[in-house]
Amino acid sequence: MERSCNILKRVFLFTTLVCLAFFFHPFTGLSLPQGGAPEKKPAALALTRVKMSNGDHQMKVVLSSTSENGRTLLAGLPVTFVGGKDLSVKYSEQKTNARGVAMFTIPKDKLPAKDPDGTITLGVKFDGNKEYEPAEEQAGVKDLTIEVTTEVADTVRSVKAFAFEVDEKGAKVPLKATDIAFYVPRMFSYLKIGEGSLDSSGVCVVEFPKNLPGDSAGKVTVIARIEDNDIFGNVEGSTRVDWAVPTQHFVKESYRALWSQIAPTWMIITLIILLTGVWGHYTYAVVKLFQIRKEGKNLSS
Amino acid sequence: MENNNNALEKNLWKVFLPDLVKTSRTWYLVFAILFLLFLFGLFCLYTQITQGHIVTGMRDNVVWGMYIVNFIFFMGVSYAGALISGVLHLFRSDWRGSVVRMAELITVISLLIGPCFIMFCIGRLERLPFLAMYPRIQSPITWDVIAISSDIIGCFIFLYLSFLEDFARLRDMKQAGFSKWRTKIYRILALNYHGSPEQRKHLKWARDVMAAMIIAIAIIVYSVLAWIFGVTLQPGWHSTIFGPYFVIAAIYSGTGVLIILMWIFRKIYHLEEYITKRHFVNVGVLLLIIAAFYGYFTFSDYLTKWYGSVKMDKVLIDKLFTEFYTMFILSNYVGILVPMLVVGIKKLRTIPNITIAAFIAVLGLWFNRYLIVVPTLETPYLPIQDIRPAWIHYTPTWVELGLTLASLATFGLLIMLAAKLVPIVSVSEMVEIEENVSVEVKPEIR
Repeated sequence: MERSCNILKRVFLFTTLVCLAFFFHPFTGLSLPQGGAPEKKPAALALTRVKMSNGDHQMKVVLSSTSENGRTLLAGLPVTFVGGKDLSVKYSEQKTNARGVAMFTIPKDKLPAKDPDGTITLGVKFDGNKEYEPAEEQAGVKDLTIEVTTEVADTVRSVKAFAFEVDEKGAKVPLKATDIAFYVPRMFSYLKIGEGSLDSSGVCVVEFPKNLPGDSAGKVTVIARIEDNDIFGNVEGSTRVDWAVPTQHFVKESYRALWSQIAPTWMIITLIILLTGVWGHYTYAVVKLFQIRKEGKNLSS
Repeated sequence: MENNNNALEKNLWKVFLPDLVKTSRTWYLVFAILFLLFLFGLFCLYTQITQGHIVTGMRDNVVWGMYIVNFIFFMGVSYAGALISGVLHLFRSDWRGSVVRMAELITVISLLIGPCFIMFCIGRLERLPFLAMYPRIQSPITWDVIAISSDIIGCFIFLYLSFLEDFARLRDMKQAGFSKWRTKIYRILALNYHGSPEQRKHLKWARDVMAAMIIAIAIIVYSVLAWIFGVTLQPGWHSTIFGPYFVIAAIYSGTGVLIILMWIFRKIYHLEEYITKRHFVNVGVLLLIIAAFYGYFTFSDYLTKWYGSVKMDKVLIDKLFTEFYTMFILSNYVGILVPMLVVGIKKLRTIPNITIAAFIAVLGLWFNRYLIVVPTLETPYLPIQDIRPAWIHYTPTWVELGLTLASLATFGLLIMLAAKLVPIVSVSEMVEIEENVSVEVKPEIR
């Protein structure tokens, strides 16, 4: 009796353990209640800033959170664009889009004061919320300008970029031995048309390609760009040239189309054939009826 | 043999003449009930015209409802009638005599009722003449107007040609005791037809040509109707097989209606001798074959949409299997399988069973039309936002139900009136078949 009781106890204990293991197994989605507030997930900001050809600074930030399940882009959350050495200048608050991206352009006359070493610091802040921790990201770069000009030698058309800093006295100090690329904006992205390195006078010249499609007047924008530079970040300068092949981007609307006032010829021909066929046969049948009537009259008379 | 033909004709007139000359109380009673329903329909229409389309279940999103379902249904029925009568006439089928007139009447009457639902559906009827004044050939609506009007006229000509000989026979029946006005009508409609060889030749040619034409035009009309849906970028509609699918579905519903009418007239006029089990089985076999085709098209259409997994197609199919589950099963399973089993299994192949199967097929087809029109409009590509739920989902109102009921009553009324004008079975056709059979079977005796 006692032995059987022991067996029952062991069976009960084993069953209880199995049940507990099942219910609190990760796959079942259940867990033991935890004390305290739930832990916040870390948030991260990835900032890209570009000095545009007009001197404005375009800032683009991606807000995300990385966990063991991978990287999640955080949509619809507010981020603040700031500037200055201690990021005390507040520019704008923007909400991230579905891809976790927020953008803001700081006009050149609103830029924060330069640091003593000439660095302009811009940044972005995320204050965090119930679910995510706060995050901050900043990028300090020195000011650089790129002037883009064109020149024609014989029949060769070239684009020339001159990159320089401006010192305290207002003199242009050329940037040397730095990679620079030349692009033409297309519908979805930039098309690279050449690249090179700045020479001792801060100049790089590339040949403009032939047969490059432009707008209806053959105009196209050429952008010279220094990218991901440790000191200057992303800087670009641009100019507009009329060296491209004029292109009509719109399709000339047909006089006869599905949506125009006048129907396409094939449709009118099809309709005429069908209606002639059908109504021709009807007419034949009606003519036969008249013949029957006429015949009947003859028979009566 | 001529004596036999005369005997057959005498027998036929014996059956039909009393009903043409005298009118029973039952006839008046049925006519009165149907006429009351018709009047109720007029009241519904008056309510709709005075209060606007708000009295219907149609709203901004579901702009087509029961009216368009009925329109497609009646057009389908008419098409099947045209096809059956045209094919049976062209192939000189020896059992056509008892059936063709009913098929022709179904065609013309359905063609008169069907387009009325378009008028009920659209608002601002005063703009209707613009369709003729400023037509755009590119518009499927214009195709539809041209096709339906051509079809109505063609069917009227065909019907008149098939009535002509009977009109002549009725004109010549001095002993029948028709009223004067009636005799005059028969005289005018008979067009001096006396059955001379030349007249018969003209009539035969005209009927053959028109039989072929109404088959062709009915296919075009119903395809055009299908293309109104097919060329529209809506989930469930934008399909290349919609043309043939609609044609097959139309023949299916029309065959079902023909069987039901055959049963009704057989009962009313005691036509057991002329509408036999053979007729029911023959039309039933047609129903079976068409059911198989219709099932194949239905499966093919839904399979490709389901497999494609285009978001809104998937949402639509999910809706069909949830919100419209009962209707979907009735339409696409019961409505196809029951007629096939009843006609396919010999033991079940009785006249009442075939009639019930035909009724189920017709009901299934009506539901099929509903499933084509309503769930699609409730599932547009562009999301429906900030709208009352009652405006997203369609439910027919009493006005729509009343007009539907009235249309069925009108169908009955017109059939009754037609049966008062000419025999419901074509006497001339029956006599002609008898003549042909005697010529083919016993040439040596003659």
